[in-house]
Amino acid sequence: MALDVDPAHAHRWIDAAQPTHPSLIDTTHATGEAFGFLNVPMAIWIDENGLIVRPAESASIERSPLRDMEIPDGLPERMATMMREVKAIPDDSDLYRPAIIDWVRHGAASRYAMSPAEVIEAARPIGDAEARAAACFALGEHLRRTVGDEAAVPWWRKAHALDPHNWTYKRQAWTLVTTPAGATENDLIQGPNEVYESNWLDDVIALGGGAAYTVRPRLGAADDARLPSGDERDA
Amino acid sequence: MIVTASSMSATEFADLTGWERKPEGWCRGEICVPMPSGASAGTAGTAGVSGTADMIDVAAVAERLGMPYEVDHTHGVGALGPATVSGRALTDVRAHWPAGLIDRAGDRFDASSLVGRRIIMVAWASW
Repeated sequence: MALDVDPAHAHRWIDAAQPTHPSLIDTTHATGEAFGFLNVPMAIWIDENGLIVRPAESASIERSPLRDMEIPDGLPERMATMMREVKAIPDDSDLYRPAIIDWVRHGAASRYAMSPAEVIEAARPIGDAEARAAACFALGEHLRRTVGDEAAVPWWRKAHALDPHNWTYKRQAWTLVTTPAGATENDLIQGPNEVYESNWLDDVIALGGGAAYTVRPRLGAADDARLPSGDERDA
Repeated sequence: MIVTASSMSATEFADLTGWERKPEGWCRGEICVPMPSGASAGTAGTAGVSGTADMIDVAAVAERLGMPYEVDHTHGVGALGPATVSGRALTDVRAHWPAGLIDRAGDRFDASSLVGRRIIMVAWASW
């Protein structure tokens, strides 16, 4: 599910992946609003009955090489700081990947499939500010598409202010102004710009740094994650 | 959820938001919010929280459901935010599947094709 207001931005990545599963594009970020995606990659698990058995959480299955990369000497300070924050972003891929496999194999019997009460407790709270932010983002997206980029800006600024922890609203907006015209990929640095008062690095630092950047999956102790569940426990 | 008029049919509202008007109130899945009776039910030719015929007052219903309603008066368009009555993100897709999802070809995606399957929905982006 690509959260991209311009579907063309997602096309090259879908084409490169050549997925055999449904690969969709959510141009209005409606799934973010509905399911609580605050950043990417995040995921929810839905069982055969349409019930969500794991609410939105960070969904990494492979440790990024950026986590272990040495910061080269001589980098501009801002870039070095950015790399330090990226390296500080938690990585739970060694727990999340086996959790997925366990659920695929065992379904409702998997220890990682939450009960409805657990899902509700773990799901992101949505108060008035978060809900208003969603409305503002949707309005901005609509105006960007029907009127022009500038019409979106005031509404997206408002969305950012109302829900500062929603990185999908911010990163989507920033990349549209920081990506150079004619670029083949969206800018990921999302640095200071003349349109928004905010940018990736300064906002990450202000909100607790890389360590606070994700919604970590609640998977229990590391040892528990490597124990078999379901039939394998009795084997 | 984009709104271009101050009133709409209850059916359209349900398609847009997943909230359906039922005898017990406005409902989505197992959650129902009672409707007020009497004056706020609307009069002939007007819509209210309950509505006449199939028409409803969007702002009135949205307020009842705790849905923010932001309006851009310059461009004459508004947007509804999610209902805050439950206080949480959606936990049951049977109640409402987000609208407007498209596939690589730009065609609307039929969510019913996923019924009966185990799904991991992964949100990613080009940014």
